[in-house]
Amino acid sequence: MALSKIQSDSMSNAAIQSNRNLIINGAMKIHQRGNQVTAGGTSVYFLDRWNIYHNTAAAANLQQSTVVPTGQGFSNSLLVDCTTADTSVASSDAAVLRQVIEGQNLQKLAYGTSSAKSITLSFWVRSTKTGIYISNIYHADATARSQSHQYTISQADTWEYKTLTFSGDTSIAADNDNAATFYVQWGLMAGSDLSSGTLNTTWQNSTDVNRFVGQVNFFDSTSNNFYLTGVQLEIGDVATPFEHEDTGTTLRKCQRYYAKSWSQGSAVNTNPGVIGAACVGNANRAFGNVFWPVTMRTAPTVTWYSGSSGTVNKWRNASSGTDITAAAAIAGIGESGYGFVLSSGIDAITDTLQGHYQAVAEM
Amino acid sequence: MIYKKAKYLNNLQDEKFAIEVEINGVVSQVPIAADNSDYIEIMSQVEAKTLTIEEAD
Repeated sequence: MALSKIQSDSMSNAAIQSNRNLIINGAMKIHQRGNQVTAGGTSVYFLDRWNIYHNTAAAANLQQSTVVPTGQGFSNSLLVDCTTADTSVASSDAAVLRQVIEGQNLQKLAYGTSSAKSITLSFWVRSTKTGIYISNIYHADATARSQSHQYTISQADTWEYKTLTFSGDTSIAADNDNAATFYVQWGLMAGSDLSSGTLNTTWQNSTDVNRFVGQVNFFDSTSNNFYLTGVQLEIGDVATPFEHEDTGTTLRKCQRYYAKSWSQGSAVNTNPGVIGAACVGNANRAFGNVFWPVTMRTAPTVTWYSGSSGTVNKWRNASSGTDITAAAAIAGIGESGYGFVLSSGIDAITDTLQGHYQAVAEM
Repeated sequence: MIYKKAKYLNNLQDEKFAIEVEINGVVSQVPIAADNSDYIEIMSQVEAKTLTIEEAD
């Protein structure tokens, strides 16, 4: 076809710019850990890359849902299902859903220069609790910065599409490293420690009381459900259509932060099976290697599980039918894998040894 | 995260390579790596004297 036949004016800029979404797993498809519950005062990961910081007497089930907006091409959403209400919000109470982004993935924003770029956050949201909600981006490098915007959920239990534009920060650069730089956050509850000031709608040195001003208390009833999907954070002042990715691409991005040896359909410590094996040198001495599916963000925290019983911090000697002491490192735990040694519970070179792992390199 | 019962683990060269620790009740191996968020938090708690790390067996 002659070049003159290509209808360039029918193609939007967005159509030819792939990999523009700074959010990983925005379609909520990857869910390696399985469903979780909140625990007061802690940070809990559930869907891959998605985390809730939770400091309240309220509690919730954190799940992957199949409730989605019609006609948008989504199969899943994230669900926060309130199971214990907290109607009396103390000053330090907070519940924030968030995704953390490495600084090296934010360099294209040109922060700290006169060319700093605006970014637009778009998402589909549905909640039983109507009212004002706050989205906040917290820039966590040496000089902490913060910008927040409010959005309104107008109708209960109805999907609504929201877009929020954050101006570029010409003052402070994003560190070019693998540490946490952006916390992209959705408020669910905010006590006065986070809400008694004036909402910071432009970048400013972070002041906690200005970050979630006006935030409604989602956790005021056990009837409340909060759904989120189609999350996209991209350069520019306008939201473009959600960039749907193939599942394999999204899974590989997620495995930089979390990997497991179980099949994707099986949660950790369920349906144990054989995945790891070691080469036995002699009694009480076996060696092996596990390579993570992709190079991880940093050397991960590793949990070993018996390959048969699923017992934590064990391996399995299938020949003797007993769980044995978990593997230790030949040298160290690496970003790419783990060379391990098993030093007890092995009777003969014919023994068969089995293990499972979970490796976590979240920020 | 809640960290309890921390103890160093040694590798085959008898060098410390990780901290065995209960994280929310699950025993895990935290590498001695400055970028690992569990290691950062553990050392922060050690500095604050709210957690101690036993030497390896």
